[in-house]
Amino acid sequence: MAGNQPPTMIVSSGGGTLKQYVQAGKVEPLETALSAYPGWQSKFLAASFGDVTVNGKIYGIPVLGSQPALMFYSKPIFSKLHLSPPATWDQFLADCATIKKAGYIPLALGNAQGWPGLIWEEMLVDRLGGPSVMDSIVNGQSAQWDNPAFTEANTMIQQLVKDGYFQPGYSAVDYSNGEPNALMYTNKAAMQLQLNFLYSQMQTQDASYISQGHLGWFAFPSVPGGTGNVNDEAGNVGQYALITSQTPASVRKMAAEFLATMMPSASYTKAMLGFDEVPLTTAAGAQLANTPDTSFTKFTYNLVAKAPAYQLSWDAALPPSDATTLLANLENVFVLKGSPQQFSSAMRAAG
Amino acid sequence: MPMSGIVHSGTTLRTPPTPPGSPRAGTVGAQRAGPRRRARLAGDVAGVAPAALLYTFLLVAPAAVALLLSFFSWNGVSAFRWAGLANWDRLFHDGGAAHSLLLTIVVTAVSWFLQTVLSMAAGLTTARPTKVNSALSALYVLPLLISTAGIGLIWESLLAPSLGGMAFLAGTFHLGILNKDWLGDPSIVLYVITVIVAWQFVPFYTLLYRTARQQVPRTLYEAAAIDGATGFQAFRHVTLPQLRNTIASSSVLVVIGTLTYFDMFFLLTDGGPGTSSRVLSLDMYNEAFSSTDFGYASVLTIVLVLIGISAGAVLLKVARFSASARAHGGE
Repeated sequence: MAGNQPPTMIVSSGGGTLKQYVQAGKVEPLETALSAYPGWQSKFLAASFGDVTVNGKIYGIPVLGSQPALMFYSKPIFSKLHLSPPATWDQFLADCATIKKAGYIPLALGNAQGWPGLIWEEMLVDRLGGPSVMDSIVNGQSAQWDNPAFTEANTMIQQLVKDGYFQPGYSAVDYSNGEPNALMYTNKAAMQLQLNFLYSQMQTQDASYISQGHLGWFAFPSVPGGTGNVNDEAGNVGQYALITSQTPASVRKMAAEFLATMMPSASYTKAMLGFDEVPLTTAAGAQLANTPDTSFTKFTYNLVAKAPAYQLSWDAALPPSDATTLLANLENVFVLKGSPQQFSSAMRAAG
Repeated sequence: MPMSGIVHSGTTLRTPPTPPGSPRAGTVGAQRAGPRRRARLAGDVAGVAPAALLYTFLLVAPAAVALLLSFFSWNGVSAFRWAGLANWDRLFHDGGAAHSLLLTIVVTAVSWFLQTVLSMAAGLTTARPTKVNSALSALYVLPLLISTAGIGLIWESLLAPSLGGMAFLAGTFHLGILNKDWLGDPSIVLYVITVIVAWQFVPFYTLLYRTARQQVPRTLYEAAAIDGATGFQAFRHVTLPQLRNTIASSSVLVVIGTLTYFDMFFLLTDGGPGTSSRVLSLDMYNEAFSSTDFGYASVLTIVLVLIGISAGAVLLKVARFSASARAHGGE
């Protein structure tokens, strides 16, 4: 892209990076190329296009599954302590206390890269203040960093830290090294907030943990007093193919038509479901019963399909420079190095 | 025109040689030596050319591009937009960069001390060619054989808080002191990485000190012994002065190497937690490749280069000054 010799299609999660591409005139909106396919968007779920729409025009078509956030839990630990998945934040805190008292780690986290901690922030801010808080920041209102939803969410996060609910050393653990998942399948940790890909990773790390039915999952609990909908979601909404402007118009048309017909098709959807992906296609609804991991796939698909608001991970939604600042400041919150107020003022100053 | 001097050289030889000291010697000498000098120059130029070309294209040109880029706003996909001094102005209001610079200075100072002392100690104690010392030296060299990425991964898994080697030792042998959040505690992470960097590079400097010590003439120690010098006095008045050049060159290498060192910080913490280990080189990398602000990243690059060059110049100057002071009898 920077070398000015882009391929016909590039894959992107949309958001802040896409905006840079659009401003630089590097990618093409799809409407013109797809004029012969009216209503092609309706074959995808409602949440699909928000993050690839710039100035009212759609620039991308989902090519890979969606990655929503959810809470994973250890069924053996929960049943041993007679716990059931918590529906509210207060129950969740009570469960954490019980788990800790019994000598287990309540929450596994690998926050060396900052993004796993960001999932906590995204879910809590949404539950507390609804999706409009972050949406307005993405649209340039950096004063919203002072929104009480941030201070409250960060206070709640720091309380989890102070109560010792995360495993020791969570801030230095790289999630991709597998340690947070290992804490679960070695029966040391009880819960982990993560995107749905934890499931397929767990299958390569310790398939027996899943086949014995030890891995459980539930949606992020509601937060009393918050204005956000309990069904709101956050995560990597989609991976999209964008079509580059330097491609000749005839090839662009061909590429767009291929994407618009192939990606929502029943056969492509079936192939994605086979990999425990969550397709953003309406065709997936009818096929959920025939997947290798039916109950998990059904659960995650419904998380996405029924979410009133589905927020793109903030580090992708924001312009890259703000995303870097956000991750650094949030890591400081997670190691109690910066107060919630410092977080807000640092972010406001940066935006 | 590298060949011209050689072409003309035939004609100059016709002039009869003039004895030195004669009144015309200056001018005739100049006539004779001119083309020869030119020929020698041509040879020099031809000899230096490959290195100069490499240096120009791999160092000078990129530095010039970075300098140019520092006056532009560019995110990698946008058009270049003239930014004037905006990027440079930002440098003076950037608390993040100041913090990173401070961390870099701390790491450099601690690294210089740690690596110099450790490598000197290891180098001197293994200098005498015995079997044990040869075995030890071979052991010391081992870290040099591992790539930085390998060292990073090894230490990351050793220091992993729950399932790492340190945690295992702490649990098995009840060594509570090993049970630390090595890379996750903002108050120690910088020093932990500095020690790992020392572990990586001390072997190299040990090699330097070992060889340098072996080249100190034995007669000096014999003379010192005759004068009744104790072991420490011999070290202070014979070994240290003799190692002066080695200390100078190893110091320049440590300081400049550490100022720009990036790999281990990137591998182990990526600057975290938060910004606790975000040294200036990492800040520069993040500005360029995470924040895609190539203009400002270029400013940081130039700052880093200038600091490196000045530090190197100062160190060499100090070393040369004290060397010449010694030559004139000062100590």
